[in-house]
Order: sequence, then structure tokens, then C-alpha cells
Amino acid sequence: MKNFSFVNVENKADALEVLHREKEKSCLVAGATNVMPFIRYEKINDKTLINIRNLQELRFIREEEDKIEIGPLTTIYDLENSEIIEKYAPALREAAQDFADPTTRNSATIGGNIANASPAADTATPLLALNAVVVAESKSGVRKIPIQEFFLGVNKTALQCDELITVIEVPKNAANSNSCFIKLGLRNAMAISVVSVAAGVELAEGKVAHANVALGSVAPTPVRAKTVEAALVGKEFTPGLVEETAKLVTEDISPIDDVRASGEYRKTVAAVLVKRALKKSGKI
Amino acid sequence: MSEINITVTVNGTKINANVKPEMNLLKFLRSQGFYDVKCGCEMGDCGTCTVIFNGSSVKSCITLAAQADGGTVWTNKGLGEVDELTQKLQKAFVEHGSIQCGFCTPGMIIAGKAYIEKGGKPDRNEIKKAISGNLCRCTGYKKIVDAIYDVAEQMSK
Amino acid sequence: MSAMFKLVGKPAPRHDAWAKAKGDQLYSDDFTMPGMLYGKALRSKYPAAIIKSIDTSKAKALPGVHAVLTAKDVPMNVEISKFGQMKDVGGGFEGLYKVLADGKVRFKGEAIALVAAETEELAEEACRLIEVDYEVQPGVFDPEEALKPGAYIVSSDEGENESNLIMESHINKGDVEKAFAEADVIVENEYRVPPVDHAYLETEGGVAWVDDNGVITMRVGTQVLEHYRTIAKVMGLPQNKVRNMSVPMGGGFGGKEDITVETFLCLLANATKRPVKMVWSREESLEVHSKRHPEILRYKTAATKDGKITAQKVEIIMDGGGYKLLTGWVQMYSTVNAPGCYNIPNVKVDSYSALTNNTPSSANRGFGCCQANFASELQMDELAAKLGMSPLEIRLKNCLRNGDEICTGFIPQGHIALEEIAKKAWEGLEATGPKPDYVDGKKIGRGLAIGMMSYGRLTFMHDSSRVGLRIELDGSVTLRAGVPDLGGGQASVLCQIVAEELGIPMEKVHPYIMDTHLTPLCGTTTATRQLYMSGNAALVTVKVLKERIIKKAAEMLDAKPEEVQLINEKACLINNPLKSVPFVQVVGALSNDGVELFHEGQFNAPFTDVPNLHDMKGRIWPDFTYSAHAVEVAVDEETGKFEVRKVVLCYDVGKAINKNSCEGQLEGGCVYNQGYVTENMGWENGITKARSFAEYLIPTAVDAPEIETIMVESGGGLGPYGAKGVGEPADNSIAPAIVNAIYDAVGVRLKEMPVTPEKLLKAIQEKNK
Ligand SMILES: Cc1cc2nc3c(=O)[nH]c(=O)nc-3n(C[C@H](O)[C@H](O)[C@H](O)COP(=O)(O)OP(=O)(O)OC[C@H]3O[C@@H](n4cnc5c(N)ncnc54)[C@H](O)[C@@H]3O)c2cc1C
Repeated sequence: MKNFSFVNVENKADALEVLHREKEKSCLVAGATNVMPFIRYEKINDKTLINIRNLQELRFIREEEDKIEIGPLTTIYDLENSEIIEKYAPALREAAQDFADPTTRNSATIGGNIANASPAADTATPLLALNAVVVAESKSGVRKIPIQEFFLGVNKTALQCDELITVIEVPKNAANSNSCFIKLGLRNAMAISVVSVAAGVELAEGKVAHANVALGSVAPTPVRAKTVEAALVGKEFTPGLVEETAKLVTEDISPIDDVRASGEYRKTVAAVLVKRALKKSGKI
Repeated sequence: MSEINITVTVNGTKINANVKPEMNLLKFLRSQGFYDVKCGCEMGDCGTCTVIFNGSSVKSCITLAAQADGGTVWTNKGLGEVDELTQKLQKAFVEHGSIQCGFCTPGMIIAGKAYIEKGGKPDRNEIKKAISGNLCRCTGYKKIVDAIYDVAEQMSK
Repeated sequence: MSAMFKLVGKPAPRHDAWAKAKGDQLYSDDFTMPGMLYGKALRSKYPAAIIKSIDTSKAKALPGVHAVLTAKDVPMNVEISKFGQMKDVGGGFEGLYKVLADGKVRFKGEAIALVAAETEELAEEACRLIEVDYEVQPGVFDPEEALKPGAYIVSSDEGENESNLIMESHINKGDVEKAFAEADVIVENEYRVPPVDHAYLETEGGVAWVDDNGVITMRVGTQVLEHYRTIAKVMGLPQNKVRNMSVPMGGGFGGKEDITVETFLCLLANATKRPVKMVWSREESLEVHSKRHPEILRYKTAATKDGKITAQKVEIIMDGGGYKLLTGWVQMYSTVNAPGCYNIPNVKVDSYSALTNNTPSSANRGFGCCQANFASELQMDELAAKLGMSPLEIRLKNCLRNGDEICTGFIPQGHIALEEIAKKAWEGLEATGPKPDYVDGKKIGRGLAIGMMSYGRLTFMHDSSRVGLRIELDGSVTLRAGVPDLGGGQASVLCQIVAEELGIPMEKVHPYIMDTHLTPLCGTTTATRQLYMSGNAALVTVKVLKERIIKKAAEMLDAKPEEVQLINEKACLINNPLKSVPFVQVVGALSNDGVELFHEGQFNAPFTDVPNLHDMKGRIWPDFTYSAHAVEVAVDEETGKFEVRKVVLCYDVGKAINKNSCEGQLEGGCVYNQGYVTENMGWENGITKARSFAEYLIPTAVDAPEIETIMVESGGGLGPYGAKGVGEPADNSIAPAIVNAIYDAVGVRLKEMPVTPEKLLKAIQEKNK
């Protein structure tokens, strides 16, 4: 039988306190859009549900000198409607626009999206391409986890059981400001991605200075397309180059067959989406 | 396992009840007799349980009842008694023939209200996006979009 | 004539629209009763197994559990089920209905035991405590395999345990072999269509209790009120002691045509003598309730150089799944509609249906017709492509026209508007502008499909309907009809007809509907029959009362009855409307005279004998509704993803009695079967992989196209005022039109649905090799 208890927390300090006390039994609940299905399907049980939905102090989007800071309780709706995000992390905004539907976007949070660590998490792909940093806090202190080290597997992250995500940092740079996101789903709304791609390129005198490419739904975690990136940097940014290098993405991914599509198909469209995202980001 | 006590203001009335910690807001509302909040999937996939929770539209099946403690909830039925925009939408749904089985209607009207309240314009594509999380199997959506369009137009005048 | 209608033809709001808009409408799950228990079914883990034993002792011992029932607790666990018809049809049509599995389990999710407990959670827990000893069997999941000698036998029940063949049916018209020998061109193709879930937003559910007189009473939404008779038989009770005070459904589409929760609830209520509620979860609904029949359809078509079809030979294999249910009836639709809506001199159709260990197949909007329509309309385009003709040309060359006979030799009575509507739909799409090559990088294509589908049940079922009316002393009218309302406005239109005839506003007619024992039985809300059958019954009934009123009014107005009309709540002289008497006064006078102010009338459809299934001939249905869909799609050639951008649909509806309702059916049907092209149950060896609406993807608002609806009103239908039925024909030709449009865009025609981006991309790549 289902066995849960519930604690409401009013501020961050409270939250850390309860996490410290409950340890493995902790289950933070923000928008609850992942937690509720998990409860229903009995994927989790014997947990203390710690309600952080009301922690307004963790719902913010701030612009700093060299980065932007996003609070974990920021909803997908907030991301979609933020001028800061639009300016410095357009990939994240586009991901928010393709996320579920407007009603779900009112509840779902960015913190919940990455902490849940689904390979298909729509904000994870852009955050990975944007070289974001996840700031995690517990009673014993604060640590910064580069997003590349954050996702460990399906529903597995580098977070300790008593840690709370308190900030997600996104560096301000040209590649990030040029970034974009493309999702392929089986429907035009309310669709889990078959493949998603985020890309940001920075050009200097026609040549690729930086190229960041990430993909979702093609491996147990969102992944960076390292081979593609390496093949781009330093080269003249032409449609020909993009078309050639996009194909290399199959080296970087290990998609599986599931109800939505086969691994083979995912490989094919991953290359197509990488090509399109690069062109869009580099404006060719 | 032990139940917790919550107080939620639903459609303007304070309701105090004991609930299981893992109960969803949908079941709570229905257990209190708010039957216009419909259960279609309990996974957030269909939108029939959409309500306004603390000012924004949410799917009540993927919201924890305990999270609503101290908060306010409005359902389509409650709003229909006090809110002019909701009344306009209800009327437009009736007149445009937007209702067949009616099971999606309460959620659909809430989604329409949320759209117009956020400044949504009479724009068919934007309206379709706004209701894209509310499934309807009967109407093909056309007459639902017609009704919301009509009200959006009235409101933008 | 039509200029004289006050209400008919107008977009009248339905009687229930306000209640639904305001959230006042109660559905099956919205009733609770004091002392109510929760029911739950334990379902089979395997698609094919033999139940060796069931141990319920632990479940029974759980505190809060009030009943645990298995097959041996059901008085008549195996019954032959009727589907609302009054006649014993025989011929293997009536399906076997089994309440709880015993012997062989036939599909995954089949109910094995029932539990009633204090809470839902306890009921679930009790189900977990029931121990079933299964001997897993290999099963058979492909209907063609199931029909081979030596195949695994799905059923262990008498009459079904020797072969998996459910039924075969054949049409032989002319001489196809001769026509093939003489043909200029021959086109041969195989088509495959998948199972479809109805995906109504309200799952199956309801409550039942034993009332103070010992009557087993329930509130369960169903398309077939008459099931109470089967339920009574199963329970070993008289038919006058099982009652359904039914409730409006949150959608039906054929999925609430078989018995769903009714028997389970009645058994549990009877066993516990307490009210019991049972509501299926979405997962349960997707897994266990019957689906649209998957079919394999093999076509061979002969034609002359100039595009006249001379012969069509079709073989159909239908997957009936674990139980026969409505397969026999559905098969009639697939068989007779196999040649499409064309005048073809030589036709041969051979259809076979088989039991398999898949989820049972049964009724689903379109009922065997849309499977055949899909295949035949793709076949037409294949032929057109081979001959270098346009899709419109080939259809105009061959489509049925007034006076033509269908493949059984029957000449439809109703008007056949195929030529007109095909042109109107196609020209309507062309009028939206010339076809662009690409839009936003996507390749554009246009496609056409047309179709016919019957309204009204198979004539050999001897269908009938009844409606009761009572005129109240204040001039309002009580309408009583056992018409299940699943959202199509089935009850409201009856009020509209009565109000029209009596010259009173629609609000003055109030419907009392859907009670097995208090409202006259109208027959099923299936087969696109309610407007035709109950509409005619309402008309027959109201005319009797109208005659009495006019006779009295004539007396009061000092005129002859033929000089009097009823209008604006008055009886007045046709030639001198100022000379009038209020309706309510005439009613008062009749009452004073002791004249009956009530009537219950019956309408009978045409009756025929059961056809010879080895050579089907003659009338099979009362009449047909004809459809045309012209579609524009956009295909992403690099990913295979496609969108339906525009649809222009055109129907001859006979007469649109309620304009909004009629358009609503056509638009709803269009998007319903737009979904046919892409929806995917993900069946694999009897396992349903699409277990939620996150996997079973029906179209959302942003997937639905912009639809232009053109209604032709020929007046040539058999319904009231010349109306035809539209509910099921509404989804008939959209799916093939979409697939044909994809062909127009990218030059590949996928002959198997669902059409996934993956399959489409593969086909495009192969073509480009
Ligand atoms: C109908 C539906 C559609 C969906 N569509 C999409 C989609 O299109 N794209 C997509 O990516 N996802 C989708 N999802 C999944 C889900 O909505 C998202 O993952 C969402 O962002 C989760 O956020 P939440 O606030 O609701 O998380 P919750 O459910 O509250 O929490 C999710 C997990 O994160 C943990 N957590 C939450 N906040 C923190 C924190 N601050 N620190 C540490 N851990 C934390 C929780 O403990 C839990 O394990 C969908 C879900 C549903 C039900």
C-alpha cells in the first residue's frame, strides 16, 4: 500500500533542515508533474513529500555580470515569457514553448525537470548546450555541479539525497545568445520528444569559434555531440560544412528502440535536427 | 499513512478536510462534491480536470491536494457564478455548438479563460495552442476554437 | 417547404448544453451513495493461459473487503448476448458473452475476479491478494495464423473450441475472372489497418445498488440500454428486476456498445447488498475494452484503359481478438463496403474473421466500413496513378449514381450525391488557392477520398424504436425516450422535431431519457440510427397528438382541420393567422373532453431476411450517407513527419435538422479518423504498449486541421424531413484522403496504418534510392 507523509516548507533554510532530517526518505515536490505520476504508478513509496512549491525565494530569473541565474522553482511558463531568457538563452525559451501545453507549463518547474533527469527532459538539452552550472545546497554547504556532470542515468543525477537545487547558472556569451532548440515529437503538443537538439555557435570572422551541440532522447542522459563540435571548431561556417559534420552525430549517441521510434530512426533524424539547429543558430 | 488536515478555499468557500498525503487535488475536489472537475486519465494527459489554483490554470490530477493547503481553487462551475469572462465563455460554448458529450467542457473553458486573461487575442492558431493540453474526442475542436475566438474578440474591443 | 420550418434546420442549442457548460451535468462517476463500496476487477496477466485454480481466501480475509467473486459465483457465466435487437437473428451473429474468465484466458486484462471493498485502495489490495495459478499458453496473435490448421485454439467454450474461425461471408456478382482476363489494367495491393481505441474522455464506470423492492438498479452510461436483458439472464433474474437509470456518456463512439461495468456492478451489489461503484482507470480502459477491428485487405482491380472499373476482387481477414462480441455484424459492413462506393459489374468478396489472443475487437465509429473504405480509396488512387488519371476523374467515372445497384444487387432508395459532393469538396480545396510546392520547407500534397456508409442497423435485425409524449396542461410537453445520449445531441433533436410539429418553442419540450423501465425503449445509440429511427418514432408519435389538437382547434375556430396550423404556441387558420386560439386553451379543452393527451408510437425500419452468407444479395441496410474529403498535407521529407493543414469535407446530409449538431458530427468525425492514420496501440503478442494518453496519441487542437464543412441538403434521406444519419459516416473517408495526399506530396503511398514518421521516412528514402 501507498505510504507517504507530507511536510510543507516555507523557506530554503526549512527545506534544507527537512532534507537533512529525512535523508533517503526525502522527496521534494515542486510542480508535482513528475512526482504525481510516480506515486500513481508506485515508482516511489515510503517517502516524505517535501512541498517546495511555495518557495517564492527560489522562483527568479536574474541577470548578473557574466551569467544569468535561474531559480529552480521557475516555471516553464516563466521561462517562456522572460526577456532575459529570450536574450541570453533563446534555446531555453524555445524548449519552453515546445514543452507539454500551456497548463502543464504553469506547474512544471525547471528544477523539477532536470532533477527528474528524464533523457527526454526538454530543458535539459538546452541547459547542456548552454554549459549551465547547477548549484546544489545542503546543510553541509553549497557545491557547483557543471551540467555535463549532473546527469548520471535515467532518473539519476549527481544530487545527494539531502541536496536542493538552489540556482541554475547560464553563462552569458555569444554562443548562448545565438542558441536554438528543435524538438521532434509524434504530435504537435503534449508530446515527449523522439529527438531534441539544442545548438549554439559563435562565429569569428566567418569561422566557428565555439560550437555547442546537445541532444535529448538519444541516450540514457542528454548528451553533448562532441564529435560534431570538434569537427566544426576552427572551420569556415558554410552549409556544406554543417551538412557534413551533422552526420557525425551518430558517433555521439546511442539511442534505443521504444514505443515512439526505433534507435535507427532516431539516429537519422538526430543528424537532420543537428543540421537544422546549427544552420539556425549560425543564421545560414 | 497518517492523514493530514488541510484547508482549501474552493469556489469561495473554505473547506477543511483530512486527506492522505499522496492524494491528488482532483480526488480531493471530487470527494468534496466538485463533480464538474472531471477525471479522464489521472496522468496530466487529457486536461479534463483543469482548475484555477492560486491564480493559474493547473491540471488538478497532477497537483498534490496537500499543496493546496491554505490556497484557493476555482472550478468552472464556481467561476460561472461570479466571473463575467467565464460566463461569456459558457454562453459562447452553448451558442457555437462547442459542446457534445461535455466531458472536456469544464476544463476547456478554464483553458480558454486562462488564455484570454493573459491577454490572448482572437487568433485561431494561438487559441489552439492554448487548449492543446485539453483533449476533445467529439468536436474536432473547430467549434471550441470558434467560441473562444468569439469571446476573445468581445474582450479585445 | 423548408421556408416554413420554425426550428428544423436551425443551429438550436441543445437541451443539455447549459448544464454541460456550467458543469452541472452528472456522469456515471458523479454519483455517490451512503454506504457505497468500491469495486475492482482482477485482470489476467497473460494474453493466453489456462486458469488452473484461483485462491481468494487471503483477499476475503482482508478487513474491509465485502465480496470476492469468481466465475463460479456467476449464475450464468456464459451467455449469448444480443445487442439491443428484439429479434433472434441466429446464423452465428449473436456473440458469446462471458462475465469472468474460467478455463482459458483469452486476452491480457480479461477479468478473472471481482472485489468490493470499503475503499478503492482496499479493493486494489484485495485484488493483489488473489492467487491465480496460470498455465501459460503460446496463444495466437495474428488472424491469418489463427485460421491455419493446427493453430492454437483461443477459446475453451463449447461451439468455439474447435476452430478460431468466427464467420465467413462472401459476395459473388458477375464473373470477376473473366473480367480480369479481358482487363486493360490490373492493380493488386494489400492493405493493413490497425486497432483503434475510442479514447472517449470518460472511462467506463457507474454505480449499482439493490433498491427497496429488490430491483437491481444501476446508473451506468451505455449505448445499449437493452443490455439489461442480458444482465438479468446472467444473474438469473427476471428482466423486470434489473434496471439501468442510465446517464449521459462522456463519449461512446461504439466503445460503450458492449457491456462494460454493468454486470460486474450488479453482481457485486447483489452479493453485498450495498451500493457499489466501479470506474475503470485509463490504463484499464486502453487495455481491456474492445477496439476497432484490425484487418488485412487484399485487392485486385481490373479496369479499361479509359478508367472504367470492370472487376474488383477482395479478400478480408479480420482480427476479432479474444471474444466474438460484434464481429459478425462488423463483418457485414466490411464485406459489403469492400468494393467501395462504385458501380462495378463484377465483384467477388471473401471475408473471414478469427479469434486471437488480442484485446477483443468490436464496435468503433465506422464499424467495419472505414476499414474497407481506407483500402478501396487507396486502391482507386493506385488505379488512377497507373492510368494517368486524376483522383477526381477516376471517381467521377465510377461512382454510384441514382438507380445504380450496389454489389449485393440492391438499388439504394435514398438520393446518391457522390458526384456532386466529390466535386464540391475538391473544388472547395482548390478554391483555397493553387497548391504551393513547399510551405516552411515542407512538401505540400493534396488528396481526395469519397465514401458511403449506411445509417440504420442491418435490415435483417428488424430494428424498431419507440417514443412517448405527454402534453401537460400548461402546454409544455414531456418527451420520454430510452435514447442513450453520448453527446451527439440524440435526445435534443427529438425535442426539436416535436416542438416543430406542435408549433411550440423547443424549451417547452423536456426530454426524460435513458431509463430501461420508465422510458420507451428506443434501441441502441449505434449504427447511426437514432435520428433515423427515434426521429421517425418521434414524428409518428407527435403526429397522432397533433391530429387530435388540430381537430379540436378546428372545432374551436369553426374551421376544417385542414385549414388549421400550429404555430407560435397557437392554433390558427392557415389563410388567416389572426384567427387563432392559444395552444394551451386547445389542450385544456381536450382535457375537459377526456381525450388522451399522451401517446407512445413505434417506428419500424424495413425488415429483410438474414442473407445467405455464401452469396450475399439484396438489401442489407435501409440506406446510405455519402461523403467526400479533400485534404492538404505538408510533409517534412527529412524526418517523415507530416501535418494535415486543410480539410474541405462535403456530405449530403439529407436535411440538417440541427445545423450545429450536424456540422459538429462531421467535424468531430473528421478529426476522429484523422487519428486513424497515426494512432498506435502498440500491440505486441497480445500486450498493449500504449497504456496512457501519453502513448496513445489522439489529435490535439494543434494537430487538427482547419476544416471547411459543406453540407448538401438533398432531402433524399429516410429520416425525418428527408434527413440522413451522419454520426458514423462522418469519419469515413478522411483517413484515405490523408494518405492519398501524402502520396501526392512525396510519391509514396503507405498501405499500412498507422503511418508513423519513421515508416514514411523509410518509404521516401527507398523511393529516392
Ligand atoms: C502531461 C505531462 C506532460 C509533460 N510534458 C513534458 C514535456 O513536454 N517536456 C518535458 O521535459 N517534460 C514533460 N513532462 C514532465 C514534467 O512536467 C517535467 O519534468 C517538469 O519540469 C517537472 O517539474 P515539476 O516542478 O513538476 O517537478 P516535480 O514533479 O515536483 O519534481 C520532479 C523531481 O524533481 C525533484 N525536484 C524538484 N525540485 C527540486 C529542487 N529544487 N532540487 C532538487 N530536486 C528537486 C523532485 O524531488 C522530483 O524527484 C510532462 C509531464 C506531464 C505530466
